[in-house]
Amino acid sequence: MSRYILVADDDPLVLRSITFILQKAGFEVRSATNGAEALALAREHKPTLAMLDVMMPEMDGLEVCRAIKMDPDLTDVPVYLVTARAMASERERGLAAGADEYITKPFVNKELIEKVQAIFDAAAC
Amino acid sequence: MNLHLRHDRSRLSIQSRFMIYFGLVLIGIMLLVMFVAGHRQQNSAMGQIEKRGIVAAQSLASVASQALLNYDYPSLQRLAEEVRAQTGANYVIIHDKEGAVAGLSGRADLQGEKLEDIVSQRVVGASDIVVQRHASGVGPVPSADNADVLEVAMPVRVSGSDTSWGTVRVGFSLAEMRHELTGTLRDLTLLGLFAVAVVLFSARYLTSRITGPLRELAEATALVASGQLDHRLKEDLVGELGDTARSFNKMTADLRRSRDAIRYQNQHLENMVQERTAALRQKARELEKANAELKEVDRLKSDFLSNVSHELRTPLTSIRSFTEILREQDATLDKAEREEFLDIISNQSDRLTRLIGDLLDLSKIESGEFSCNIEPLPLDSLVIGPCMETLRRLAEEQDVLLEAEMPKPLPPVLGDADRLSQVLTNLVDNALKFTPAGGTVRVRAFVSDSRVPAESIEHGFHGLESDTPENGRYVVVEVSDCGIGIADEHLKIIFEKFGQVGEVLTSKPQGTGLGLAISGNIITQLGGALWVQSEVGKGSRFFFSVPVSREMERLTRDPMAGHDPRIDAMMEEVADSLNEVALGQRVLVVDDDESTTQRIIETLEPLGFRAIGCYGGSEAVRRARELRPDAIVLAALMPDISGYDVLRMLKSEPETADTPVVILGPAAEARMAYDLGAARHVAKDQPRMTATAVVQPSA
Repeated sequence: MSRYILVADDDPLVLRSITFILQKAGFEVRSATNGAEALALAREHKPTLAMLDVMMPEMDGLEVCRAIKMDPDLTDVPVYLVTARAMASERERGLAAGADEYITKPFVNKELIEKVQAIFDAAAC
Repeated sequence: MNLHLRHDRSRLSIQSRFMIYFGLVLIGIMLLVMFVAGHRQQNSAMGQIEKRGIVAAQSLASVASQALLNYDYPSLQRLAEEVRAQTGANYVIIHDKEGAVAGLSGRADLQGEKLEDIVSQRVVGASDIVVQRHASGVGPVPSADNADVLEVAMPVRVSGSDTSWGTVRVGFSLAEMRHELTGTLRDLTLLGLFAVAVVLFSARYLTSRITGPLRELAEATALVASGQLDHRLKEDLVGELGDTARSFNKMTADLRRSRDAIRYQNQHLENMVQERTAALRQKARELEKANAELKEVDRLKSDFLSNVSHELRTPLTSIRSFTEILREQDATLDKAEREEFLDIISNQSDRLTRLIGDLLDLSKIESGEFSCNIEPLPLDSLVIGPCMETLRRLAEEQDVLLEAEMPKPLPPVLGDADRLSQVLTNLVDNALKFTPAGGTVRVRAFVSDSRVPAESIEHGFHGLESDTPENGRYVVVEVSDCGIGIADEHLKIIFEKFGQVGEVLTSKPQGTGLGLAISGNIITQLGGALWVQSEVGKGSRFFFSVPVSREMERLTRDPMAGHDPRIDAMMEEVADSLNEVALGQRVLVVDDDESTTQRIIETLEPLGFRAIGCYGGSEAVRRARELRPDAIVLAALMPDISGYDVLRMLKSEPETADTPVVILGPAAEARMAYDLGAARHVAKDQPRMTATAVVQPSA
C-alpha cells in the first residue's frame, strides 16, 4: 500500500516542475499528461491526493474531479485543481465540481508543498 | 333617437294637416255663408209677404168699412174671399170691433167665433197696422217660435173718423217661404261640399307637390345620416325646393369630399402608423440582434482574456517554479538538472515573448494597422525554402520527418515574404506540435485555377477567404500532419476571432492559439484563402493560397522575355545530351533557379521526356532515391548543397549510382564533373539576368 500524489498536467514543463518539487519534499508522485490517463491511474492505485490541471486533452480536470468524487472507491480522495484559469467564475466552477482546493498558476512552491503536507498530516492522524 | 322622437310627434303628415285645416276652414266659411244667405232670403221673403199683406189689408179695410157699417156680412164674406183669392193669402178674416167674425176665408173653423186674442184687442184699439207671426192652427195668437204664419191686421175706419169699426186680418203661410229657404240652403250645402272637395283635392295636389320632395329630402337626409353620401336629389324642382335640393346635393357632395378626404387621411395615417410600427419592430429586432451580437462579442472577449491569461500564466508557472527551485534548492541540484532548469526558464521566456508578439500582432489586426507589403516574389525560394530549413531543426528535435514536395517550379506570387513565412511557420509549427514522434509533416505546393480548389470544399469549407474577386491562378500550399485531427465542431471555430484560442489549440503545449487568426488575416489581406480539412484520428491538412503574379508570370513565360541565344544553345545541348544518355523518359531536373528549371522542362517535354522539377540539393538526393528517374539534369551551383556534392552522393548510393547525370556548370569545371561520374557536362554561364532574378534575394 503506497501513499502517492497523482499529478496531471498536459504541459510537460509544469508537470516536471510540480513533480520535481514534490519529490524533493519527499512525496511519491505519479504523473499523467491527460485527464483520461489520470483517472485510469487513480482507479488502478488509489492516490492520497490528486492534483489536476483543468485544461487537458481527452478529459479536462473538472470532469476527472467529478469522476473521482462520484466513484465510491475514490470519493474520499482530496482533489486540488492546479490551473492557469484564474477568473473568479472559473474558480467557482472548479469548487462546484467538488475540488477541495483551487490553486492558480503560477503558484509558490512552498505554499504548494504546505497544502500537500496538510493532506498527508491529516491522513497520518 | 332624436329623429325617431320627431317622427312620433309629427305622425300626422304635413299633407293630412293641410287638408284638415283647409277642410275645417272651408266648412266654417260655408256655414257662415249659409247662415247669412238664409237669413237674408228669409228677411226678404218675409218683407215681400208683409208688403203684400199690408196692401191687401189696406185695400180690404177701405172697401170693407161701408159693408161693416151696414153689417152687410155677405159682402164682407165675398170681399174676404176675393182678397184671399187675389193675394193668395192663407186666410182672410174680417171681424167687428167686438171681435165677432164678419167675413172669413180660409179659416172655416173660426166661422161665428168671437176673436178675443191680443191682436184683435190691440188692433181694435189702435190705429196702426199690426204685423205678427204665429204658428198656424193655434189661432192668431202671437208666437215667435214655430211661426209659420205671417198676419197683417188693420183697423177698419170710416173716412173722417178715428173710430175703428172692426179689423181685417190677412194671414200668409210661411211654409212655402221656408221650403224655398230649405232648398236654397240645400243647394248651398251641395255647392259647399263640392267646393270643399275641389279645395281638398287641390290642396292634396299642391301639398303633394311640396311634401313629395320634402319626403324625398327626409329620406335622403336619413340616408346621409346613415352614411350613404352617394345619394343625390333631383334638382328640377320649383322654387325654394329646387334650391334646397341643390343645397342638399352640394352639402352631401361636400360632406362626401370631406369624408373621403378624412378617410384618405385616416388611411394614410394608418399606413404611416403601420409603416412606423413595422419599422419600429424591425429596429427592435435589429437592436435585439445587435445586442445579442454585442453580448456574444463581449462573451468572446471575456473568453479571449481568460484564455490569454491562461496562456501567459502557463509559461510563467514553469519560469517561476524553476526559478524558486534553483534559488532554494541549488545545493541539492546536480549540474545537469541546473542546466535543464535554466534551459526551461529560457525557453519559456521565449514562449512568453512569442505570445506577446502574437498578441501585439492581433492587436494591430484589430486596430487595422497590420498591413502587408505586397510585391511579386518566388514563393519556393524565398518562403518555403528558408522556412523548411529553419523548421527542419525543430522537426528533428521532435523526431518528426518534415517533407517538402514541389514537383514543378512555382510561378511567382504576389505577397509579402515575411508575412507568408510567418503563416507557413505557424502552420508547420502547429503540425509539428500535433504530430507524434516518428510521424511526418508534409509541405506541398501546387498551382490551382481557383483560390480554393474544388476538391478542397467537397466536404464544406472551413476557413477564411478574401472577399476580393478571384483573379487568375493561385499557388496553394498545403501543410499536412498525421496528428489527432480536429473534430467537425471545432473546424468551424478555429479561425474565428477570439474563437481561435479555444481549447482545441491552447490545450496543447506551446501553442499561443493566436497563430491561425493572424495567419488568416495575412492571407485574406493578400487576396488568398486559408482553410483546413481534417478528420479526427486521420490528421489535419491546412491550406493557404496566394494569387500568382500575372505580370511576372507573363515575363517569365514569354519566350521573348530574357531571350538569350546562349541559353537557347544550352537548352539544345541539354536536350541532345539527354537523348544520348537517358535510359528512359523520366527526367529529374534540379536547379535552384525556377526559370531555368522551367525552361529546361519546357524544352524537354516536346521531345517526349517527362520532366519533374526539384529545388535544392538535399531534396534532389531524396527525390532521386524516391523517383528513380531515367536521367538527372543537375545544376552545379546551388546554395545549400552544390551539384558536385549531390553527384557524389548519388554515385555513392547503389539505387542511383547508375542514373546518368547531366551537369550544368561553369565550363571550367567540366573536368571535375566528369571525374565525379557525370554522363555529360553542359556549360552554363553565371550569372544570368532573368526576370525573376530581379527579385531574387541578394543573400
